[in-house]
Amino acid sequence: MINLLPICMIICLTCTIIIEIVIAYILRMKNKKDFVNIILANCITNPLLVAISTYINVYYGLFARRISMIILEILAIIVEGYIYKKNLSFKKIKPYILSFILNFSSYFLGIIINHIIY
Amino acid sequence: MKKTKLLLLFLLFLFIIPIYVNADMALPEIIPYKARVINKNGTESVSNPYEQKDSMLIPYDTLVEITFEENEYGMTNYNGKSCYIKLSDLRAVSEETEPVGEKVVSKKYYVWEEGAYLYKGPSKAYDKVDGNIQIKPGTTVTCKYSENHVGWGYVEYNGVKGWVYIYQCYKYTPYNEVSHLVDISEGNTKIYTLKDITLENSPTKREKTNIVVPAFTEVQYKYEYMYNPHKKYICIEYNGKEGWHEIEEIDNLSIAYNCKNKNISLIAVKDVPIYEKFNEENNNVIGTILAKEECDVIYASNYYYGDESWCYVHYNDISGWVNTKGEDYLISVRYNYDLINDNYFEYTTDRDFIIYDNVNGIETDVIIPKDTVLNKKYAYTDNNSSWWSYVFNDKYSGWIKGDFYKSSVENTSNENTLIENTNEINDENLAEEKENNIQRLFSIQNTLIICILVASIIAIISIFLIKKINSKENK
Repeated sequence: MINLLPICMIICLTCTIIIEIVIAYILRMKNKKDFVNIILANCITNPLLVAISTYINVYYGLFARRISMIILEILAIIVEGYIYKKNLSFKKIKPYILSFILNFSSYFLGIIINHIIY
Repeated sequence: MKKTKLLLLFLLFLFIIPIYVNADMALPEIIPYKARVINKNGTESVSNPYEQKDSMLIPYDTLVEITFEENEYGMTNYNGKSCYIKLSDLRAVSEETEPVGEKVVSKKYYVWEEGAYLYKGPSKAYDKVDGNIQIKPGTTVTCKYSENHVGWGYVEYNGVKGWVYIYQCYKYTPYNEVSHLVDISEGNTKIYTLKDITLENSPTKREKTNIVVPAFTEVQYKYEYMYNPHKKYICIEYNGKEGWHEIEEIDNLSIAYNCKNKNISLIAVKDVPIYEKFNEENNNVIGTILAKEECDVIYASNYYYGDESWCYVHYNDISGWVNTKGEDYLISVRYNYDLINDNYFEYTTDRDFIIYDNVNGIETDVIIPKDTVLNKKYAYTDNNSSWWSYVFNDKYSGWIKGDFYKSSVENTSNENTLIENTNEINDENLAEEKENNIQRLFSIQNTLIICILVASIIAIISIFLIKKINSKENK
């Protein structure tokens, strides 16, 4: 099962990017460069988040993994928020709030997707 | 902006919903697992796996999440109600699972009777491995399983890996639900029969054989099987033949346990008679253990090695039986000896203690100060329910009164380990198992480290790309 981790990471990243791009579009983001920034921001945070949380799950168990997920998600929001603040031309929503919205959308929709699939 | 605030509030509300999976965490969890009802007529769920009542029909193809298994039933939550479904009516959604990053423990098991099937996952809701592979009776397998999977072990048999059902030690488990594997990791010890024993062919069928082990015979005890917390069966080898025997209550003892490898000794609080025969206090007294004297225990009739039992001792060239249940209560050292680290457990005093020469004896002039690290060798509760401990270190030794200590070290051994550990595991197999475990852990570790490294590289590349794109734009 651990051998599937790289594939899982790719799937995670793809799903996250798709969901966040769609939500960003709904929020009336139009600039193509902004979408590219969102994709790249997720490339920074998402693979690391999945890999680190899997590492914690493997060596410290389920409970530790759940705690770490909360911490890692908060860190991801902060990092992406900073990137959006520096680089996005989209100003309708504050960058950290935008980061929060996008990350939680992907988080919540991910639950639904997992329930549907499994 | 109002819409954004509403969306934000909605997302915050969603955050408080308990969640188990999300888009950022792709690896499916092994426990609990999801399964579908495969019975075309649906399945009758029950509120209790041992009583067929409060049934509720769950339709065919319903997806459920199994969180617990008991007595061939899986527990789930359906329509807001907790219930049990027959595992035979379910099929796990995941094709197969193998242990991931869980504690790897190597234990040997002996397969008896009909043998044991290999499954693709740690539940009978999973399919059997391709080819319906069944481990043949009489085979010894090594299990590497997680503590999370109670009752299931991950084994390799003839090059095929899969899960086997070990056992579940529940009071109401009926005969036909028991496992086919017997833990022999800590077995291969000797016992001493106290009366004639007729062996049985198996712990489940209970048919008498023609193998009779005479009283007062030392025999090899090879395997044990715990049918439920109150019944235990052992497999005895006698004259090249094997048979099973149920261990009975202390008042009707049939065997005594060999204590030679467990460093068990006793200390007499008063002068204690040594009897020639077991469990017969009126028989010939062949010696006396003087008060404050120690001696080695060779056999103990109680599973707890000497506590409230008859013990066969060697004392000053005399070998015989003493009764620890009697007025002259003797103290077993078993609980105080760490067999894993081969030392007595250490404790630290939380106040000053006076040393006595004996339980309820004379105070000496010696005082053990607070924060002294001591080994505890014996424990005793007197008629007034006062607790006494025989302690020692390089400087002090003697009895102290009262609960005094905080443990200096974690007690890493448990009762079952002490009882079963006889250090007779084959060294070559153990080395091979250790190597396999190390290799497996190494490959898991390698995969994880490589994934983290790749993720880091992707992150660094992304940072450069962001800077490049945005600097171009600024130009």
